[in-house]
Amino acid sequence: MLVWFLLFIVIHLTLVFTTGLLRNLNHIYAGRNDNSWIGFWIFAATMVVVIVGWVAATPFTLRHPRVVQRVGYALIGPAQRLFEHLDATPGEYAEKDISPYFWHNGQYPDSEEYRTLFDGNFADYRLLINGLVDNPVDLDLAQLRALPHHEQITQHFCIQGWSGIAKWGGVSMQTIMDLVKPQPEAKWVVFYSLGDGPDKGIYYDAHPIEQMSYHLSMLAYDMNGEPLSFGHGAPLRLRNENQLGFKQVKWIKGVEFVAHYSEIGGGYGGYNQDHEFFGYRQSI
Amino acid sequence: MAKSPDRPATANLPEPAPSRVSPAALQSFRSQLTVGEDVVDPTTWAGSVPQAHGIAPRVRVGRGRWFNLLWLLPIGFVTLILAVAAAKGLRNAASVQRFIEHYPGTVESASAVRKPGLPTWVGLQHFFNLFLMIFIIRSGVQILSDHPRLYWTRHSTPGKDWFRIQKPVPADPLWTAKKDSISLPGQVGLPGLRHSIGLARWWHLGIDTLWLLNGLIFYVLLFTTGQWRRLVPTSWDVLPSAASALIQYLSLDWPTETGWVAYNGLQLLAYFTTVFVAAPLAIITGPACRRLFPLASSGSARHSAFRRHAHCTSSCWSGSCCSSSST
Repeated sequence: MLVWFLLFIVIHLTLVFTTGLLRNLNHIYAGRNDNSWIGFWIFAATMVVVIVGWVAATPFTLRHPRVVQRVGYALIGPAQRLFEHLDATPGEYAEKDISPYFWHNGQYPDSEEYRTLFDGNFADYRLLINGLVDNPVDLDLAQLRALPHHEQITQHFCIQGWSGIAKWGGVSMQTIMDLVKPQPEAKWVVFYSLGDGPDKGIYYDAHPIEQMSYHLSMLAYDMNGEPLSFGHGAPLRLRNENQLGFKQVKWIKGVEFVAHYSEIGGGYGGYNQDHEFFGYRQSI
Repeated sequence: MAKSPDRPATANLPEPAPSRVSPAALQSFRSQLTVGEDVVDPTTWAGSVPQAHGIAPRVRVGRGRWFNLLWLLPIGFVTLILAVAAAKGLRNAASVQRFIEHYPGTVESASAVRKPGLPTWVGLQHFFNLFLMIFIIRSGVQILSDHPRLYWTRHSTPGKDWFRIQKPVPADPLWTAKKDSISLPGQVGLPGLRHSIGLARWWHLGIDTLWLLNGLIFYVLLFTTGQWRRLVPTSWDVLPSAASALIQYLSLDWPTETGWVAYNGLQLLAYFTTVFVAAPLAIITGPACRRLFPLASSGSARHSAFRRHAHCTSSCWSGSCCSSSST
């Protein structure tokens, strides 16, 4: 494809240059049908703009990534929010659709805290749920498994472009909210991981509270009928099928209900948003 | 301090009332977070992931055989030479000469002859198009490099990819998609660094909205000014005309340049396809496909891996045609 594309550029430039360059440039740039140099000079001026834009784009992006993040969001953010509303019911699948391979991703937890929990088969694991809630709780795995069981077969969309279907078993986020009773000021739900992100500091991500009531928002402790593996987030991970993969926090240790994510971490709504300039809401 | 005799010893205290809530439930994890940088340092980017380069693009043929697309360069060159030879041979045939005489390559309508030339807005929009395409293509290649493989289905199974610019997936059971990403030279990709998809997406999607706007204005102007007549074939004569133009180009005895008045059949087909087929297709197979069409939600069109394949394929076509059609 890229070869195809390069081929066409070559053909285009070859034909423009060989079928009367000055006349062709006058056609497109100067609206005249002669062999004067006017079109050429307009073309040359635009080429200066093109070259400056081309050369400056990468250095500018590395020096001012927050500007790119902000302007990019201003341009596409409204459309992304619109898409979230237009399609609030992601697809569900059957057992036969489950993917034979599900990519691992992110940074595996390697803290002493995690290793101790893992080696103890998570007997000492506690999920803390607090923040702007009437009833903060800490739950061990037995208590989590005692809550009403929810199961879904859904497709995971990674921001990188791969996808995979899996069956997730666990607790619906609605069940969790019924238990902890969020206060009216709680607008965002922050999920904290037992694992660090790639630049130190624990991984986290914030989700809008209204999406936590969706039928397909859940905390999963099972994947494809078995307890969640180390690589896929043992003992507990998030599923919010309206969002991309990086927002499905793995190895969860805490959930905090907050008024706004700007008070958390770097204030951009998640670890990748703070450290790698992702968007806080990326449905596409 | 003296012990007060009134206070009971700890052992005598009653247990606290039973409750689900313990002091641990109020513990906060906020202190374990870090604040990100506001400048990208390539040496420490994405957890100091070392830069890693991909390989020449390969397409899978059959089960485990891969065809290196670089072979298309010599193959294309030889094909071109053969085509030139064939076209030169054809032009010696009397019937072909009569055919070219009858179909010189361009269909010039009376209205086009009366109102020749390109208005200023075409020139301006052509420039905006090519300028915006630079960033769209560069950031698009960057996004592809973050998962340098394409699949036909909603599954992303190693070895089942049909296209890759990366070595086969290693056997390591904990190999991650992030480790699979590749770097690009800083002046090719945007911004080039390995796993810089967050920034590349802002460029790709952000500039897309401007490109879309430019395209919408182009459509409106095209149909309100009558300029669409230059781009839309209105007679089947376009097909023999295109064939005629192709033979003339390949035989290196090129057709008379008529672009000021009307495009020749070959240009017309390329231009029409670009503006009315490829460009909308690139948009539909992009983000819109997954979210805008609920009907497609249960079909294969929704599936990211497949959609990405369709989007990459059609974008390459539209990218190529947009640049080839104005000659």
